[in-house]
Amino acid sequence: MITIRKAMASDLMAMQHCNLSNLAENYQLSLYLYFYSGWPDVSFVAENAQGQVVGYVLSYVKKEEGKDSVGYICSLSVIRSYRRLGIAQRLMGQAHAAMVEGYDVELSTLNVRVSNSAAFNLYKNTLAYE
Amino acid sequence: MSLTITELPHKEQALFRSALRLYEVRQYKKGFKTCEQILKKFPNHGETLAVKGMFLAYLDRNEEAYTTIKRGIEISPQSSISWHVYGIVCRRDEKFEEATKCYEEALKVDSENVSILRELAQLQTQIRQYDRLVETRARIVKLDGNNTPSYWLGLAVAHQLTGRYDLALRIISTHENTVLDENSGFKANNPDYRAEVSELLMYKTWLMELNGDFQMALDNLKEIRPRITDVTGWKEQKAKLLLKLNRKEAAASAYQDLIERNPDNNNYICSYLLCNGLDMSRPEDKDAVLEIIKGLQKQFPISNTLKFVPLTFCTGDDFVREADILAKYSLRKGIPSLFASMKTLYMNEAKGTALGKLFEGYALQLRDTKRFSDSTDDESSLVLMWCKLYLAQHADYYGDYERALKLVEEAISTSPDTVDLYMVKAKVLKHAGDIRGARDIMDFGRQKDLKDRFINTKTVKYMLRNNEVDEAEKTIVLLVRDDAPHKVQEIVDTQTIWYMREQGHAYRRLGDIGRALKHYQQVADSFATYHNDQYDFHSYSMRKFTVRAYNDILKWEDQLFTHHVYVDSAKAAIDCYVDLYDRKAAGSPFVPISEKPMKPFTRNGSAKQGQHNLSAGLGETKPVAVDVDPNGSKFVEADDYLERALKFVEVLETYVGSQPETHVSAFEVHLRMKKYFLALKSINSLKAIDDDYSSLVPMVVRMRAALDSDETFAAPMKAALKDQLFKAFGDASIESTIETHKQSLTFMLAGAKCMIRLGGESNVARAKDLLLQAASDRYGETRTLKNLLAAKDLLVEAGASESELATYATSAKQVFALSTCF
Ligand SMILES: CC(C)(COP(=O)(O)OP(=O)(O)OC[C@H]1O[C@@H](n2cnc3c(N)ncnc32)[C@H](O)[C@@H]1OP(=O)(O)O)[C@@H](O)C(=O)NCCC(=O)NCCS
Repeated sequence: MITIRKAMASDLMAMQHCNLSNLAENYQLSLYLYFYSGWPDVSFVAENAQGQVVGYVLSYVKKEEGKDSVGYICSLSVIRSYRRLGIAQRLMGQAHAAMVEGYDVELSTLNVRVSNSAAFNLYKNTLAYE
Repeated sequence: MSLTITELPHKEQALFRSALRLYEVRQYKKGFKTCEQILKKFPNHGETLAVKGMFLAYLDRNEEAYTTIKRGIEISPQSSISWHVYGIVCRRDEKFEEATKCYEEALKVDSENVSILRELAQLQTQIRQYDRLVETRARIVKLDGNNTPSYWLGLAVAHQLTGRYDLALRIISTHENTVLDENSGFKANNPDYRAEVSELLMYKTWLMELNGDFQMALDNLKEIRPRITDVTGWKEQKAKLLLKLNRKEAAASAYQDLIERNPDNNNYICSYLLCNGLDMSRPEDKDAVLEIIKGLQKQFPISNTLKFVPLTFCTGDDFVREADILAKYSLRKGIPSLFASMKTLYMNEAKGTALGKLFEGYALQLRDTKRFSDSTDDESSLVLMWCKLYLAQHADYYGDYERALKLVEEAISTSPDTVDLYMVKAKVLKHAGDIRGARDIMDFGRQKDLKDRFINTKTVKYMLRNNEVDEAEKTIVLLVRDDAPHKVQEIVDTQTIWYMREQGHAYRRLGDIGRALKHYQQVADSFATYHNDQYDFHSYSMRKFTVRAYNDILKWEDQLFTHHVYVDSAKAAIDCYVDLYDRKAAGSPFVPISEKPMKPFTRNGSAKQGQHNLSAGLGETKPVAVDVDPNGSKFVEADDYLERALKFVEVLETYVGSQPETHVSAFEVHLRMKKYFLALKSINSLKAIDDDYSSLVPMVVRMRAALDSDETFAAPMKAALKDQLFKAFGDASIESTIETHKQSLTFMLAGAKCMIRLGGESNVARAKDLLLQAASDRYGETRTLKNLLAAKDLLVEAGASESELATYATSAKQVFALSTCF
């Protein structure tokens, strides 16, 4: 059973672990802490029945005076044995809603390699990113 | 920093000020030269010496730095600059306690220096001196004429950390208008204004809740709603407060609202039930709970969580009916994690059996008719394939590895390109003790999806389990981003702690204690960094107003060292140091291994099926310039093994004192240090946790023996200790405890290990006899792979001959027929 919920400080190491296992862009824990403490309500995790983090989305928002806020997805991944369950889609849905509701985000952006067909399809088809 | 530099002529005073400015803009070399210039004329100017010392520290000349600063302080002990500088350098070296003292000294002479006070507040938080923190924060607020929000918020947080929520609230109420009033000037040019206000208001409500004023918190929550950006947080808090106030109907609709926003949150669902007076874990509530869940399922058909929840509380026929729905849905959709999600249900034996029967039934139906018995449509052959995969994992769970392999092979023959199947097959082989085969299969799966980092990572892990340290490194290096200057170092820098730990274990199995310790130390260093990472947030979070998240960070940091990767690595490091100590004491010290150890195994055929060329990527990796100690000789050549081990012991005792093994590790170190009272304390702590723990009596026996053989230890104390042991354990012996637990391999292993440690021909011979029997039927279920491997290691330690080891291997293979590791 998977629970989708807001990330907490005690999830950050597990998110880092998940990121290291899934993606080539890796960060030190201090960056996770920095994002969490700067924007505590826009990052989410998926937790399995044993309480392990099996997926996460790490996001942040930038606002410049006089301009629209922009939401950024810094990193998103789901461990292999839990893929194609709609977890990424749900995580992104929550993050996106939090950014729109809380920060009037007009635009959210992310970087995906076009060669990454899973991520590409996810963003384009399911979440209507351009 | 305020200066007391009046002893200097004008020109030098100016130079001194410019040196301080250079520090602020991080021009350390220039700053250093400026100090030198002053010192040429006034070699004994204390403050200049201190500041020069600080620059030395930043230029990584630490030893000189400290002597220079200390000389400066000796000359002018009354200077706040000198003490401040000393504090900065200590803080930089993460000596937070010492730094705190320096800052306190600096304040004695310069009591109104806000920047020193602020840094002190950070330090006091870091070392959890919350009472003093309150004083410091209060002084800052008093000195500050500008109502600076981060200052008074800091004071509120300090009060909150000491449990004085009322005082925290009062501080906020006094000052909040500076922030909340849109015309106060705080808003101007502040792009984050909305979020900051929101955080402040939410924090305030949380304080009311902490203070037990639920109704006040709830009223406040309603009032602040228009200014809140963290909408989910707001709604969660509202629901929680309503439930606390026992306003169940309103709470139910608040949770309903949350479920609508996120129907995949188990916590919302449980709370919703609670609002209806129901609890999933109460059997008598079952029917009512099920009805509500069914209703929710209809409303939120996309929720996976709601689909699964009934399986957790239904039993008997209800369980089978619900499992049937979920299983068919998942098999048709082809969800590889199906078993993983069911696994928790296996804790309940009846449910495990029922699931087995259910899937067996499917397999038969699908094989014979291509359909489920209740359906008139043919299913794709993949449905049977996924069903077999499930059954394979089911068999694996119950230890029937041969059947598991047969099933997964069948699944593979239907769908040879599905990588998940190889991951399962590899896992089964690992459980069956075929470590090499497991690694080969995982690698084979990897070849099918080389771009996927997850399977690559898993393969590296399996390589390390197979002690292939070089191959693992070559493979993981391929995963490091292309632009990293030093690929191996990058793995350390990105805090890949799982890899450090597995490397440590692999080297240890290979007998390379130096390299093992090096990697365990990398784990410890990463955790030290994690621990220090919080430092900046003691001030950053106040400026950002995100103090709820900050509290969460503190809470996490406070139990950081309970993390299993740390605990496991620390225990292994202790073992390594103890091992180094024993070898040295026995006159055959361990010598650092300069060449990397040979790979103990060659790969067998199956991995070669997939073509790959690892060396291609390797050409680009630059040598790791930073690695000055490739083989860990620094650890081996140390002369304070036990002191180093003790450092780890102290952390374990502080953070995981409730785990039995903590005291086993502590005992090993204390005993060798001849700290008998501490050794006794470890025994007693262990006894308090579990008075029937396998290592307990062995510890007592070794303690007695150590006391008997230590002639330098004062007789009365010896007698007192022995008396205590006798009172608690009588004349308990290894033989008697093995006898009372004669079906437990775990107890036998602990006993045999103790006899080997005690030494003496007859003890070792007896241990060997026992160990050679480790695989015999009498030990039943306790013959786990781990235990049988431990027996093998102990046999080697006891000096078993080749033929004895071969005999043992044969017997172990009768338990683990597929194993290759004995
Ligand atoms: C990309 C990733 C996060 C998707 O996670 P996920 O939980 O499996 O994704 P979802 O189940 O929510 O998929 C939602 C949709 O995305 C698309 N999608 C996901 N994986 C796909 C794949 N392998 N191929 C094609 N489309 C895919 C589909 O449209 C899917 O909808 P569907 O299952 O109804 O067809 C996951 O595969 C992953 O972690 N990959 C490695 C790391 C990564 O690439 N991260 C993104 C880089 S920013």
